[in-house]
Amino acid sequence: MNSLIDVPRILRRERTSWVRLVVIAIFITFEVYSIYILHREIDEQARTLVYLHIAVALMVLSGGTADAIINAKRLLKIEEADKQMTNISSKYVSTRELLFRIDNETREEVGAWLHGTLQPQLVRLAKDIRTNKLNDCELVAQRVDEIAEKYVRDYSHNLYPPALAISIEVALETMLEGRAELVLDERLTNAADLGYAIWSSESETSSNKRVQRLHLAAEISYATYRIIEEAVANAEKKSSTTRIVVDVRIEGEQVRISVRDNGDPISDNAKAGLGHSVINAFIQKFHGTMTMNNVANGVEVLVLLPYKAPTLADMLHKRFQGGA
Amino acid sequence: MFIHAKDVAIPLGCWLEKTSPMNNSQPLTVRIIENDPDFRELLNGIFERSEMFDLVGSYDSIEAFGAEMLKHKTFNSWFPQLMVVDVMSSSDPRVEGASFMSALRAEGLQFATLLISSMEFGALLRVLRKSQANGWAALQKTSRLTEQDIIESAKAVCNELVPS
Repeated sequence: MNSLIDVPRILRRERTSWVRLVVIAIFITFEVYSIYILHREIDEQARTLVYLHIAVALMVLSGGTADAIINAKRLLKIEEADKQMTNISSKYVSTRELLFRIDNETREEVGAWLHGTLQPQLVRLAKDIRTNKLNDCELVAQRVDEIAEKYVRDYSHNLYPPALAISIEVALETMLEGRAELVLDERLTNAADLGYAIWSSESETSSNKRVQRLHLAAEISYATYRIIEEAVANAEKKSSTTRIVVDVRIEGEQVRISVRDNGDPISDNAKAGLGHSVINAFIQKFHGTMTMNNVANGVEVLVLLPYKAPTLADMLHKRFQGGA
Repeated sequence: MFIHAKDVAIPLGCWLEKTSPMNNSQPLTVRIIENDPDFRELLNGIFERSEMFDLVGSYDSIEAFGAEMLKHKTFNSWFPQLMVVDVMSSSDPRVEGASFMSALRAEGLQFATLLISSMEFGALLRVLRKSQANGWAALQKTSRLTEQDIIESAKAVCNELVPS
């Protein structure tokens, strides 16, 4: 059936098929006319021979046509594959460019921090020790502590928050403290059941039985964190913002991330112009979506990322093999 | 990890008898999980020297602790009154001590937990206390951390679980 549907498309594409079809049409017309003449003028035996001749001719022709169709279909498939390849290539190029850009920005930032912040601190410390300004070991220790705690730790925690290794709840609570209210899906909280097979009759009969914790894959968890970090920072840039509410929940097969602020509404031009490069990078990576809308008393950034609950096999693999 | 209820449940009275330093001269039992060998040695020394505590086990990872726990399914005598846990002390970076301790306590085990790590603890303690209000304390690893700080924090967190 597909072949029949494809025939007109194929004929438009391949001239040889047109030629073959015209030849077939002429041949069939000629054969039909011959049958009509012969039918009237020859005897039974001769008719049988003619029919046989026609049958063989038609078989040869149909074989040729089928061959032409198969060839043409193959060409079409190659053409479609080429198109897909071009699409993938362009996507790959844009993703690679994005990765290069992010990589460059990260290198620039880390380089600037090492060169502009950490190195001067260490040079100053070394100079103070050499010139005997710091001849007391306790004072040296204090300066080293200051560098470690004030500069190195804060910076490294900003690069990848260690709290994320505990849970998305702890990481978000740490990040949003004093900045925004957090409304988190109960199944993503630490209060939810971890799913370890540790059980007791006490917990089984407990009236406040806990909900099963949903696990976010590490990279989705990190993406969620970074998207919220970016969206909250953007909301804070508006001087009119006095309240920000972050709402994260799992809805079906999606992680729904909403960041609402009560600041001034945004114009359509501003919507188009807003950078959101970090958010866009994660959306591209995970094939998610982002919308930014003026809502009642404020603005909402809504990001949807795909969520796939880990299977038992995934969890066992993660637990025992260290898989992702 | 499969642990059965009959092994997990600790009679509260028994725990109180063991934990209350005011009423009982027996030291409080402690187990330590710390993957940094130097810091583990330091903690071991501190709790061994203290007359108030009895160090009954020290492990280099959560996995090592879990394996030992499973060998002693009758927890009443094995499980300590205080766990001193470095939050990130697993060979698998995705397994961490705070959630593991919280899960054990959610299953009915009664013990105080002193968390140790270089990370900020404010949010972590708030989150843990949503599930179990008492028995959590935290110390940040810094060069200023003293033996007295550790012992005082350990005492304080154990007393949190003893009703006045």
